[in-house]
Amino acid sequence: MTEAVSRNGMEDLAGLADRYLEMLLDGDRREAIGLVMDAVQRGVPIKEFYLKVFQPVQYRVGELWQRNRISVAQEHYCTAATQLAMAMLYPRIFQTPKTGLKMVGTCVEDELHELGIRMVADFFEMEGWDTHYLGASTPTESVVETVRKVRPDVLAVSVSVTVHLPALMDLVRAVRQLPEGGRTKIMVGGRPFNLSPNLWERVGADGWAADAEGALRVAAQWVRGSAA
Amino acid sequence: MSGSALEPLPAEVLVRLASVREVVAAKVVVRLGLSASAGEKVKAGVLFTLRMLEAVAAVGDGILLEDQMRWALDRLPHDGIPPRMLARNLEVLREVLREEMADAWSGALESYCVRMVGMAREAADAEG
Repeated sequence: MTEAVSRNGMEDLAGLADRYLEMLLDGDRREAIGLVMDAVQRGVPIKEFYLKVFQPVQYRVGELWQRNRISVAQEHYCTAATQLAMAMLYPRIFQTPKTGLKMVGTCVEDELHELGIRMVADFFEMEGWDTHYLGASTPTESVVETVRKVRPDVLAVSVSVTVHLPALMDLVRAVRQLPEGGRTKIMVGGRPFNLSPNLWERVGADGWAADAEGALRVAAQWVRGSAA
Repeated sequence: MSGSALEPLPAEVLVRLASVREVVAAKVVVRLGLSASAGEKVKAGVLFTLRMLEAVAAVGDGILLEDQMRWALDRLPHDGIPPRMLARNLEVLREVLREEMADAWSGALESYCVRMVGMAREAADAEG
């Protein structure tokens, strides 16, 4: 990718996000996904696309529903379209050589907002981690069982809605009780953590991140720390 | 009123809160004298509010409580619950909660209720 393409790509992303959202709100999923694929084909890095198009668009979709500007059905349509667009990028995402590091990514039990943690898992995959993405509302015992089997370096857990914090605290306690639990660092993220400083400590996690890029940075520090 | 610290509630109080959830929600609906359909909607809202209260009280977080209230005040008018009605519902919730939790009532628990009612009342007053 040339610097010019990169610079143009960066400059265009806010406008691209506007157009992408507009197409989704018009119910034109095919056009919206075409926009994504064309941009990636032109050389816009997938991570940039995630952070500067998918993420802000999804925030705006949530706000539009909150203010009653769009219906629940429209909100679900936009989210499903973005999930489809992300899935179509997987042939590119899953070609990264593996490092041997393992990550489990999940939403806490009853939490349905899975796009954020899915982005986090994809960022780890792009960095060569072997990712086990469990998706929305995964029962606590299933997450614990996965950690027991996979023995990941990082367990990343997402909570978007404050009401699910007790379930997260239960999950953290349960993972800590595993004999193998000590080797797994627990990272948390989601709206409550973006709002409230040090909340991650109060729920018993090892760290937190505001977005997928931040999650990778935190994990890299942990890996460096354990290698030292 | 902005994000000041709230004391986390002890685990036994949180367990007690969870155990009275259904009874409290039912009593709030009765006390508000709502029709069956309005009662169902308010009951669902009260149950959610109580779960939210348990969550924020488990970590002692005023910022999260206020964020949830702002969200509710922004969204609920579109679902037919304006701030004035929300404030009234929360006042009744506080009353019922105080009765049902009489043996476990504390200044800390009161402060969560005061903040919720205060924010709703403030929004209702601003509406005129």
